[in-house]
Amino acid sequence: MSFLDVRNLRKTYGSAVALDGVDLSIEAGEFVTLLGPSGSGKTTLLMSVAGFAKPDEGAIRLDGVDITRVDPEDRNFGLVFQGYALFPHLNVADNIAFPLRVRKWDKARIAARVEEVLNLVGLDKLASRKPRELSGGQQQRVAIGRALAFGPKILLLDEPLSALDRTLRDIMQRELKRLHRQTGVTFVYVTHDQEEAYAMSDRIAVFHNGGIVQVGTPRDIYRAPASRFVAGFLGGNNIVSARAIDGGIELFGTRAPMPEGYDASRHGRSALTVWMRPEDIAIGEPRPGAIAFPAVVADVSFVGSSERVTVSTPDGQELLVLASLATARDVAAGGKVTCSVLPSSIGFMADE
Amino acid sequence: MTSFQRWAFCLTVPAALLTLCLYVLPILQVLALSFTEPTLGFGNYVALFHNAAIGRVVRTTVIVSAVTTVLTIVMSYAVAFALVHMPPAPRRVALFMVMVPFWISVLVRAFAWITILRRNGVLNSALVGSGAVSEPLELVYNQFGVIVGMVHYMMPFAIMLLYANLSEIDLRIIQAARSLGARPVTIFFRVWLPLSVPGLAIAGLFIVIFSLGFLVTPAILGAGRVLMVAEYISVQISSTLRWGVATALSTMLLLVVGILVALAMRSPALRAAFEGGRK
Repeated sequence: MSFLDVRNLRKTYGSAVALDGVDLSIEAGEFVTLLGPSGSGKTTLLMSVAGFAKPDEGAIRLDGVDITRVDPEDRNFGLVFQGYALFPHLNVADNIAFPLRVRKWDKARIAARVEEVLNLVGLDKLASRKPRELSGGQQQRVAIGRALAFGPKILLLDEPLSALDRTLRDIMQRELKRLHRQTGVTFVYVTHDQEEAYAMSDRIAVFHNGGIVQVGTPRDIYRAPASRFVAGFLGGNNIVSARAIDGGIELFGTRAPMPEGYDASRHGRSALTVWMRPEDIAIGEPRPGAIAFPAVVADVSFVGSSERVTVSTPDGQELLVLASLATARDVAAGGKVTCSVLPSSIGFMADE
Repeated sequence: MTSFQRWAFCLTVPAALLTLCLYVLPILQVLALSFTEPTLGFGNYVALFHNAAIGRVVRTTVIVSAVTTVLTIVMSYAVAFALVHMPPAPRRVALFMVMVPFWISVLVRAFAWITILRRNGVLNSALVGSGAVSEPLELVYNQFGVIVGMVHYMMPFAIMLLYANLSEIDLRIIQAARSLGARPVTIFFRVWLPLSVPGLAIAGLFIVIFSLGFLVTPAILGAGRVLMVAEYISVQISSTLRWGVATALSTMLLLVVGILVALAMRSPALRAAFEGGRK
C-alpha cells in the first residue's frame, strides 16, 4: 500500500469528463508531477486530492485511510495556488502564521515557527511587508512558506511558476527542489511545462483527455514515450512513417534490418509509426551500424547551443535535426546532406 | 497634452460652466444669506447653539441617521454576502429584486409603508387578528416608522456597494484559508470581514451623508412628529420665512458632510475606492 493512493477516480462537469477513471500511487517523500495540456484533468486531480473537487466515483486513500469525503480544512495538506492567493490584508509573517493561529498554537511556538519558515523560504528580511509590496517571486515564496508552515504531509502545487519570467522560474525550480529535499514532504506538482517537470520530478504522470497515459521517471518518459500523444506533447520529437517489409524496415526509402523492440502485434504489420529524437540524428559521415539516407536541407536556424536543421527525406517527410555548431557549419538551405540514425534510437508507437 | 486630449478636455467645459453658474454660485449666494439675514453678522450661528428646538432637531437627526446606518449596513451585508455565494441563475433573480425599489418613487414607497404600519394597517390587523397583541402597536408617525422607511430606501444602494466590493474578493483566497485549516466562522471573521472594510466604509459613509439630509421619507412617515434637519430647513424657508436660520443650518450640514468625507478620505482603502481601480 502506497502513501497516497488514487483509485479509479471519475469526475464530470455536465457532459465534460474531467477525470476518466484515474489511478495513481504516490510514495511518501516523492516529488510527482502531473503533466499535461490544459483541460487534460491534471488540475481536477490535484483539487480532488486537496478536497475542493468532489469526485463522482473512486477513492483517495492516505496511508490506507479513505479521505475521499473529508473536507479540505480537515486534510492537513498544503496547497499553493496559481496566482498565490495570499491574504492581502496580512503581512508576510501573519500570512505564514495564519494556519498556526487557526490551529491555536501558543504565541511563542507560532513566533518560533514563523521565524523558521521565513528562513526556510529566504524571506526573513521581509516579514512585515504586505503582499502587494512584494515581487512575484517573493509572493510565491510566501505562498509556499504558508502552505508548509503547519507541517503538512503533502504539498500540492498548482502551476505555481506560470506567472514568473524564465530566469526567476529557473531559480524557483531549484528552490522547490531544495525545499523538497530539506523538508521531506511529499510534493504533487501540476504543470503544462515539460522542462519544469523534467527538472524537478522523481516521477511524471502524463495526462491526456482526463486520463493518465504514462507514468515514469523523467528519463524514461523522455527516452520512451508510450504513445503518439506523449511523444508529440513532450515536443521536439520526430514522429514519422515507416514500413515493415520482409522482416526488415523501410525508413525514408532506405531498407535496413528491423531494429529491436518491434512487436508486429502491437506496432502494426505493415505501416509503422516511429519516433526519433532530433539530437539522435547525425549529419555527415554515418556511424557504423547506423541507417543512412540522403536528405535536402529545408531550413537552418540558430538556437544558441546548437543549430536546428529541418531536412526533407527522399520519401517526402520532414525531419528535425539538432546538429552541433561544428557539424552544421557547411550546411545551408537547399544543400544535399547525408543523415543517419542508430537503430537503437528508433522507437515504435503502438498502432492507434 | 496631445491635441486629442485637449479636444476631449474641451468637451467638459459646457458642463463645468453650467455647474458653476447654475449650481455653485446660487448655493454660495444662499449660504451668504446666513450672514446677512436678517442682520449682518454671526447672529444666526450663535442662535443655532442656543435654540432648544434646533437642539432637539439635531439630536433626532443624529439618532435616526445612526440607527438607520447601522441597521442598513448589517442587513445589506447579509444580503450582499448571500448574493456572492449564489449560483448565477438565482443570483440574477435576487439582483433583480434588489433593483425593483429603484423604479418606485420614494413618495409611493413612503405611503406604502404607512398602509402597512398605521394603527389599522396591514401589519396591525394581522397581529390583532391573530391574537399576538391585544392593542394595535404604534409603528408609524414616530422614529420607528421613519427608520423603517429610511432603511428600506437605503438598502438597495448599500447592497450594490457591498456586493461590488465582495465580488472583487478572489475566491481562491477563501479556498486558501480552507486548505490551511480554517473553519467557516474563522474564515468569516479573519478573511471576509477584514477584506470587506473598504466596502463597509464606503457604504456607511454614503448612508450617513444621505440620512443627514433626508427629507421626503421622514416628513411623511414622521408626519411632523419626527422633525429632522432637512424638514426643519424646508419649513423655515417655505412657511416661517426665517431664511437666516435655514441657511445657517444648511451651511452647518454642508460643513459636517464635508468633514466626514475629508476624514474618510484619510483612509488609504477609501481613497483607493474613490479613485477607482487605478494601479
